[in-house]
Amino acid sequence: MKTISGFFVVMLASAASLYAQLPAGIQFEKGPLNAVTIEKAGQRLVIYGGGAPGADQVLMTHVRRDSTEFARLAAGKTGKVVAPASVADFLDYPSAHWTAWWEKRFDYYDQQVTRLPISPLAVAHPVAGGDTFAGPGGLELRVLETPGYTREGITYLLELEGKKIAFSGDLILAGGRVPDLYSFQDAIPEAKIGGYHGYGGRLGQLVSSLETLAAEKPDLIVPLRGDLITDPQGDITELITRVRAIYANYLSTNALNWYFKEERLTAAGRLVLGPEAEVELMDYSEHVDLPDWCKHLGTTKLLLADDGSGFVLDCGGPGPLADLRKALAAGLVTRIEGIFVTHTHNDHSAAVADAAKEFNCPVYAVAEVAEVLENPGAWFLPGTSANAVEKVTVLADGEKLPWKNYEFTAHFFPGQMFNHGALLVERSDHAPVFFIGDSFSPSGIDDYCLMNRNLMREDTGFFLCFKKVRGLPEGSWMVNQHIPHLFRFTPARLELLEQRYRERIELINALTLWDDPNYAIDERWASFYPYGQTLAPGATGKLELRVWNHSVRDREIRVKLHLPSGVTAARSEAVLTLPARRHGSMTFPLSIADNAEPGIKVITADIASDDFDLKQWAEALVKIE
Amino acid sequence: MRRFIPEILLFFALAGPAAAHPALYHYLEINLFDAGEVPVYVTFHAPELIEGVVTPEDDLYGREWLATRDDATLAGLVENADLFAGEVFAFQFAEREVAPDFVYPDFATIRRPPPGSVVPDGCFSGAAMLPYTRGETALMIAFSATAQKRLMLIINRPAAFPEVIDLEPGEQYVLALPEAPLQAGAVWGIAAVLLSLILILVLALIGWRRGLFSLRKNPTLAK
Repeated sequence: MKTISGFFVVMLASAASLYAQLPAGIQFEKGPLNAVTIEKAGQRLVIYGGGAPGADQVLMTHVRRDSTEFARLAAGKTGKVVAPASVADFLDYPSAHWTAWWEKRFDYYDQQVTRLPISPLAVAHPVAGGDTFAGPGGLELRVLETPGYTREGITYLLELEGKKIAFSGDLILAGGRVPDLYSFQDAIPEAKIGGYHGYGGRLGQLVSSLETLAAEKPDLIVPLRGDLITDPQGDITELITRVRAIYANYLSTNALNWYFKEERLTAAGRLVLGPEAEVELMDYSEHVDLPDWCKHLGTTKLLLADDGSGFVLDCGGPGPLADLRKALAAGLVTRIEGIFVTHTHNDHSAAVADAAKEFNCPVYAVAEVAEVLENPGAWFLPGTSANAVEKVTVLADGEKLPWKNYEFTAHFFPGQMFNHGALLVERSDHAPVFFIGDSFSPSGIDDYCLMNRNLMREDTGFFLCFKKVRGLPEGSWMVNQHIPHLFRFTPARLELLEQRYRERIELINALTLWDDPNYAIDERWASFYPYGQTLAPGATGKLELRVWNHSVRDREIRVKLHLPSGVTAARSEAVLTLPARRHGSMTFPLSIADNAEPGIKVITADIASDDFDLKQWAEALVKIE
Repeated sequence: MRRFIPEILLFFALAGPAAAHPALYHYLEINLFDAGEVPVYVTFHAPELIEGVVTPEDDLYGREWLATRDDATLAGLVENADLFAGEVFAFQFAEREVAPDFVYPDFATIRRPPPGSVVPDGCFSGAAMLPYTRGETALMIAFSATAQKRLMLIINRPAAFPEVIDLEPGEQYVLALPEAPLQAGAVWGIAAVLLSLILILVLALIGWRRGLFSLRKNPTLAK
């Protein structure tokens, strides 16, 4: 069984021998984040952070909220901070980011990790790859550009007592691992793929950075988290092998092959797999034209009844809404009698509220979709439209809804995203058609955005979708909202998709130190609800911390809030015990001071359990009016 | 055909074509509302037109991407859009190849589409008019094998749902056209021919009657 001591409060007994390999002049203190101190000529150099305030120089390799606060501890008020030049401006004035974030979090498709600092930290010495600079006591440090886990990541190289030591932050952990997979989500400009579709988008940069680091032949790598890396070449090779296997597996079942075709996906693949690599892609499943009773209008599907009335699936913007108006005006459809929303992305939901008002018709969705549609500001998910739907009629998983000459059956269908449903449409003159939103295409699985929460668990996520597709009546078709075709997988194709998916779980499991791979792919496993709320001075509110225990064992979760000025909580600490694979929440009543300054405030929480201690992990926004 | 610019610019100002998702498909929309001319609209996902690579820091799908480009960048984007459209789409009426002369909205409209616009964030559209004549009954649209993603071809007809055709790179589609009306020049030409024929007939008839009359006066000539 894998231990996750890397994150990591528990120090392994064997680790002591590892630390002996450090030069005597380096003090290494292992903790949730590793603290490294070098004292020379009466001056103190701190790498990463920790220790007493007032270090002469503090080196940061990248900017996350926990690593920045750790550096701040060491720097105190006088320490000179060295950090990547690309983030120096951000560190100077992070409140600008958070103020803009109140709006920018909607319709968001960049998919970058949001655990960014809240308070400013002055950077005395911005550095970039190729720079050399002097540390205390004449130490010479060299900077390598090593993006991958973060866009801005750098590595410091130091030669001390005949050993070359690399401080590479979160680039690589001992054993050839990384802290998680979702942090690598990003655009792949070389393949013209945007951040939303960029699963493992910086894995190519990771491989390049690791090769750069390997070429330096360091004797030791000191990561920000976990054990020292005493076999740099071995661990680097291991990590490259692992991410290549994951990426090849991902591409081999990828839905994007339907849209982007071989050229772009091969370009993306070769950035990770190597310039000459053969990239395996899945060929297309059987597909046919849509029947006459189903019209494709952008990302909307319009079902026509025998009496001329219509039922809509999704309404994602002014385009489809205009098409529906035109169809009504031309008498092609007599009236719109209902809207079923497959999922919460704005290209499927942004005009639902307007359409429901204009056509005076009910909106239907499964519960996991309805709660986001009705209260979008409470959630942080990709592409969430701020255009709330006033009233959604919730359909239970499996609930039937007869309509004219059709019978509909609603399904919870956590495929492309967790907050996703599907509608089985049956009529007597056609094979059943399963409207699966954006979850599959004729070339495979729509799992390109990890921030969509594609949980890799037997009880939910794509495994539940596979099970539902297998359970469809014989001869059924599927249809994707973007694609004007019906398609279906053969039993052999379904088997292959499921087998590859299972293989990927094992590969991701080996990539990180968590005891379950879902922590590595699900950024929202511990998150605040509501994500954003507006409160007036003197008002009270509440904040829930929702936690998913993905582990196959019970967990005790300890939470500690960090509150901004003007905001207090009836309690700031709480403990929650969660059985294996269950989720739960704890509530924190909030009060806003009468004299609280207006603006966007950020509340964060430390999340700890017996084998991890994550500082300022979750965040929530409170707008004080 | 620049004479169509006012209609096209009005179209841009009011709405623009309705591409559904900027990233997944290329979009080509055709209106078959007036026989004799085919307006075509291409929607460009602007970041894909940048030469070289777009930095990941850019919000490729956000509403601000185009809004924050300077004039020089927008001019480059429009130029690349024109090149791209020329490379990726080919149009042919029977044996007659046509090279559409696309027009584009002004930079202010590209940056901030008007309220009610249905052009997706990060996109702008180009429009061209393809006139055809009587006897040209179909338009062949060829979609280049180098297009790198699929094409959603949308055909709008009066009082009908849009017809949606999903093409792979390298495929082509033949669109049947409503019969073009006779052109003004052709009508005058036909009228002139008919008038000439009538005149000749009238003259011939007069001549024939005169001949008959003189025969009657001098019957020996009839032998």
